[in-house]
Amino acid sequence: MAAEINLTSGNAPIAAAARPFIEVKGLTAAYDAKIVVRDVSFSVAAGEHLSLLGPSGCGKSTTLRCIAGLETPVEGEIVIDSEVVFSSHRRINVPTEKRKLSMVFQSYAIWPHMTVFDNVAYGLRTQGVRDDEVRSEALRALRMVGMEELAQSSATALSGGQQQRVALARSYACRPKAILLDEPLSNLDARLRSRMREEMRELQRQFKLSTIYVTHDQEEAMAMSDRVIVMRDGRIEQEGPPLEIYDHPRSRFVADFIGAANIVCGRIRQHVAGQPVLLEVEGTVIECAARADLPRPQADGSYMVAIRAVYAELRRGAVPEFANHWQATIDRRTLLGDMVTYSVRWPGGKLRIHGFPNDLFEEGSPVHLHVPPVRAILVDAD
Amino acid sequence: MKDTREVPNQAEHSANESAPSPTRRRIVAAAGAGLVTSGLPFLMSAGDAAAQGSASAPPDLATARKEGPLLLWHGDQEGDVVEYIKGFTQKTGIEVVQQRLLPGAAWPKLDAEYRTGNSNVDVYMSSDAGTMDNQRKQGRILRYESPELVAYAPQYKSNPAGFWTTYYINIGPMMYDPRYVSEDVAPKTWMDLLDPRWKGQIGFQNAAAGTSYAMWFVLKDILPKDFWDKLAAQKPRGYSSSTQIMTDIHRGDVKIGGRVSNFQYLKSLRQKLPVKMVFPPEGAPSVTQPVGIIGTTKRPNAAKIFVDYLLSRDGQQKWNTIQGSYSARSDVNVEGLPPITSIKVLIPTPEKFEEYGSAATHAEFVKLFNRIVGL
Amino acid sequence: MSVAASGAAAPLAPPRHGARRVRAGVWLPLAFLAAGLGYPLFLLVANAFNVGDPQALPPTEYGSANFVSLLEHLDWIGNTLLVSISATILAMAIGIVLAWILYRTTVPGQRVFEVLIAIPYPLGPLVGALAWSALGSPREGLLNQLFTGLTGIAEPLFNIYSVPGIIFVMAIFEAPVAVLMIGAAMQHMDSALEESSTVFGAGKLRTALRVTLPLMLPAILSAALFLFTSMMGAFAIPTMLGTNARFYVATTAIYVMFQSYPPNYPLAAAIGVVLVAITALAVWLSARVLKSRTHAIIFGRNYRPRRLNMRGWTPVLLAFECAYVLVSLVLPLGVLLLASLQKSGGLSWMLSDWTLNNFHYVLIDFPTTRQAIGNSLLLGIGTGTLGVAVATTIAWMVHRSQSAGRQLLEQATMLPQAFPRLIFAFGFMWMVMSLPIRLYGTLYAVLLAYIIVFLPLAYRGMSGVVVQIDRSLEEAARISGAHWGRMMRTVTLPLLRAGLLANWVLLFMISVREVSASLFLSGPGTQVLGPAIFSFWDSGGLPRVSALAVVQAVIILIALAVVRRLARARPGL
Repeated sequence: MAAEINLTSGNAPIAAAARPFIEVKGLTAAYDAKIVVRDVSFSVAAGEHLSLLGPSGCGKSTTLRCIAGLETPVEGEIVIDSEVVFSSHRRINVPTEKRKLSMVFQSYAIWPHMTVFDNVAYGLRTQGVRDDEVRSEALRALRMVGMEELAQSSATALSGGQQQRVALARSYACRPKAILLDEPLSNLDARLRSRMREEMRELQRQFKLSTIYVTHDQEEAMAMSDRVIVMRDGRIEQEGPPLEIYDHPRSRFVADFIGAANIVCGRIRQHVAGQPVLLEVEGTVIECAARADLPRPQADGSYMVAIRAVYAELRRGAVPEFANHWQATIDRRTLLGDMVTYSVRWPGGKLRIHGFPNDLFEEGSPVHLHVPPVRAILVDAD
Repeated sequence: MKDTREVPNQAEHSANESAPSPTRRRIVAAAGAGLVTSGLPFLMSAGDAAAQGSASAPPDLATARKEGPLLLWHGDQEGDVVEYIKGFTQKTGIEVVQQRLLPGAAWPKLDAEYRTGNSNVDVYMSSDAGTMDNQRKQGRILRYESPELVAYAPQYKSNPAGFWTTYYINIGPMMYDPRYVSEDVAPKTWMDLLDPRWKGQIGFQNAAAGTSYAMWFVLKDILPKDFWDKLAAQKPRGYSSSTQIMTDIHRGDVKIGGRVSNFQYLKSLRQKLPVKMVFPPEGAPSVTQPVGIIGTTKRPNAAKIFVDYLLSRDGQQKWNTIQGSYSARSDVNVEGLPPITSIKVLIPTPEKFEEYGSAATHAEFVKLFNRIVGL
Repeated sequence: MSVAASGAAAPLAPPRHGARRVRAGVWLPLAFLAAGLGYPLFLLVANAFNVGDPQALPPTEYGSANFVSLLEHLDWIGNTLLVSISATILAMAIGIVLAWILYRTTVPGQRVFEVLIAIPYPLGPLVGALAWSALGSPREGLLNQLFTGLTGIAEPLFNIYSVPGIIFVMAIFEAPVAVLMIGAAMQHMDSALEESSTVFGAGKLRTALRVTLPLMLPAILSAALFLFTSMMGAFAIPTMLGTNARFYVATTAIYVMFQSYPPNYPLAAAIGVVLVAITALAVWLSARVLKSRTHAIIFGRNYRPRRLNMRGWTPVLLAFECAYVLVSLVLPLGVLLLASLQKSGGLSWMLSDWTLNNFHYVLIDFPTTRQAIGNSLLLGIGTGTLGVAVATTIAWMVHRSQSAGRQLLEQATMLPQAFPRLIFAFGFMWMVMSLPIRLYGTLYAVLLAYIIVFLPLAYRGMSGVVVQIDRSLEEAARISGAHWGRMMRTVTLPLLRAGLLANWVLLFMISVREVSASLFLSGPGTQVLGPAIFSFWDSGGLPRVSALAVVQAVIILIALAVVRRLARARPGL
């Protein structure tokens, strides 16, 4: 099983360090006669945490459900632990119950007519495991999520967060080959969400199970994953470790979706391999990160560059005559508590910039704006 | 040499016939289809031949007891029949199961059961002698000449005797409750029913009742031809049973029962409800209710014993006392009823019997009487 | 293992893995329904055109003479429509008001009234007609007697043997269905829709009329249709209250035709065909109307809809509820109980005129009624069990499986609604008679007829419950390794338990009180309560038939009480 080269994303090959544990090849799926997943291919290494990230309707949940066996793809192949569980060409379709996976649903799907313990023990019992083993494993899983005292409670008496924990315990308890999670935190409030995130990462580290995690929240994806796949309209936009996607978005969509980015359009002044690309925006020139070839331009021939709000710098004092230093004005300032956002007017237009509350700039005051060239990334237009 | 006439060679035989064979085949096919669709008479007589053989054999009580519960169909009041059967079972040890079915429902049901080959009924106490006689002509009634037949006048027996016999005479006077209708204004003759004061206040049984049919049948030649139209103008009501008529009469909701089975008289009196009967001089239309054994009976012994008892003096006394009706036997009298000799009893005469039983006449009546009661 | 590189714009290829084949759970019920409905309908239509020998089966001659002679009797159809439409309107009015009081206002006693209001339906029109004829007959009716006694006026207050009387009794005994259906929709309404109306200044009545009512329209239409088709086939009430007034509806005419000799099957079939055509038209029309409206309302998240405080109006509304319970439950059961205790006809309050003999007679002495009670219980259990099993399977197939043909199955399941029960019953009778297997005259024939006739009701009930089960609960079970059977057993059926029980009891009660569907199918050995009471009414006295009706009512009430007990023992579902 050589490392799969992801052709559709068209860029740097991703070499999975270990043998891929889950492989998805050429997956195409439809829903109500509409195609929602188009020719998607990726793989997950053993013990890796992969996130499928994207806006609603991008096909991430459908992809997950295809891997689980809850949806039947139109075409493609899925391999789990060297076993082909689905192949359209070879007419193989292993039913869900035989795939030995587990899943945490968005609604948690805790069975209301059973106790917490019975919920967690269900998978083990179905496998025919001995009673005493069932007991010890289930209780262990409950202990790990801190729900041991409530083992005998009726499932209907649980709060949202508690149900989530039970769902997690249930999915770890039955010794699956991999865990699938479908937006498990989206029903929780913000504070609970971040806490659960930490706990889930802890669990992940302990159990070291391959995990596929579907979410529309890029913070979650960034915080928890080893690798992130950004999806849009049924296709993969970009794939890679979180920081790489953050620092090197390939398209406007990805730049916009992950973190806050400013998109500036302009014309190429100079493009020489190995040197920073010069882009002219409203008469001003920006130096952008060097690249071998140019990205896809817009219809009118202009190119897009993404500048992250956190990477643009605001300073006081004189503006040196170097590239990417400009005189600018603070148009508006919004205090968000931990963070401050500024709307800054600069020769090339307007930029949104993040700052800290310990060093505030006044509205209307002049500032010195600096964008490091490596932080001005040229991206594909839509 | 061998005489080929004695053992006709089938092939030769059909070969000789085969020249005009298409027509012949068509006729056979049509006959077959006719058999299938209406075909029971043929099947019936075949089975019946066997039944006829045992017809005159006297029944054996021991065998009868072993034959299992007798299935009895009737058109009478269930309560009365149940009470009578109790006495019969006590006396003979033969169990009886009863089911109430008016003739309109009974004969088609029998048809259906023959068709599916699972008829189970043994005896039918019917309220329509005409249709019973039709069945006799189709060979569906077992002929059993009970020793009790000698006590019955010819007009109360089938012709030839032994197929069915009258087990009671249902005479139909007018009735009213004297609390709501005073005797002087009460109708005395049939024509009195046309008095405008009775508009909307007369009740009959509806066209499904054999007794209504009989009433029309015997009166239509006696009363003026326009009587029925005028009766329709009186807007009489059509009830589903005589009991219903009496309920309304005693409630005061309807004033006159145009023709009510006379056994209701004693029933009302026994419930301490006042009632008066009127036997018009033109005559009281009556029905001779026949009892007969169904040809495919599986319990011939029990059936015969049942009929014997029903027609006997003791049985007639019991049955008519329970019901409050008139027996066809001259040696049976029920206390509380005016003697039958004082009544002008109108029943269909033998020469009219064919017309009485015909489906066409029935249909004509149904149409007319439905109109009369507003259906 | 090659990657399909050009999959991008390929048209949707037909699935090759059997995901959308027609599963047995779909085509089996479809076949059953096609046979069970289609064949009787076919026989009915064939017979309607029979102009030859009326008894011949199959008909020998075809023609339209029957329909021509129907033209002389248009009043049968007219009367049927008059009564059905009027009673539907009245029942809907009562139902909407009651549902609104129960579920959208703060009028006290909701739980109690919920139960009391539901009871008249399973008690049935037969009990209702009997009771009201004893209450409202012009001279001897209890209410009229009371009126005369109190006021001294000799003229009766009202005569139940009249068209308004029939409409009234039909309406009050079908209203609980309307309350149930509309109530369910009202409970799920998103109250924000009403609240915004009041925020913008509309008073309670205005909000009720301008916002609540229009949003309820799909539920209202659905309930009205159900009621209308039920009433088109109504038999007991028009027959028992109408013949006295020379008022005949189509079902009465058919009944008389069946009892007469010779039975005029073709004309009866022609009437049947016309009735089926009318109800089918109604079903089609309402389906069209419903389709063109978007279902804006329901399934707001678990919010309890806000209840209106009616303040000064509360006693009035309470009185309305009490009045309904009075006329539909208390008075009927009361007068029947009184009548059943009488030694002889008439309604006396004196203990010396009372006896328990009538009960002894119907329960012990009289074999027909004894048998009828036993048969009805058996039949009720059979109908409940099989009916719920079939309805649940169909509901699951329609809502949870991915089999092809699901929509067709759902439509077919609701088809029996379009068939007035009496008409269906005699078409079914012919079908059964023509089958080579010995089905005619057995309880199985009645059982089959009941299952078909009650399937729409059972399906409605189970469908609502199945849909409420979150799909992910079943998926979670499958992921945990459970195959379909284990999943049904450990997850689906336990979750459905409350609904299964409720619908079982509903089917049980309805089958016990049914008359029209079994009138022609039951016979000697297979007597059941409904037809038994009816023929008892024909030939027995009021005391005895009242006793039998009381027995039927008691059976039904016990069933109701048992289910409420069991439902309460399982909280949280």
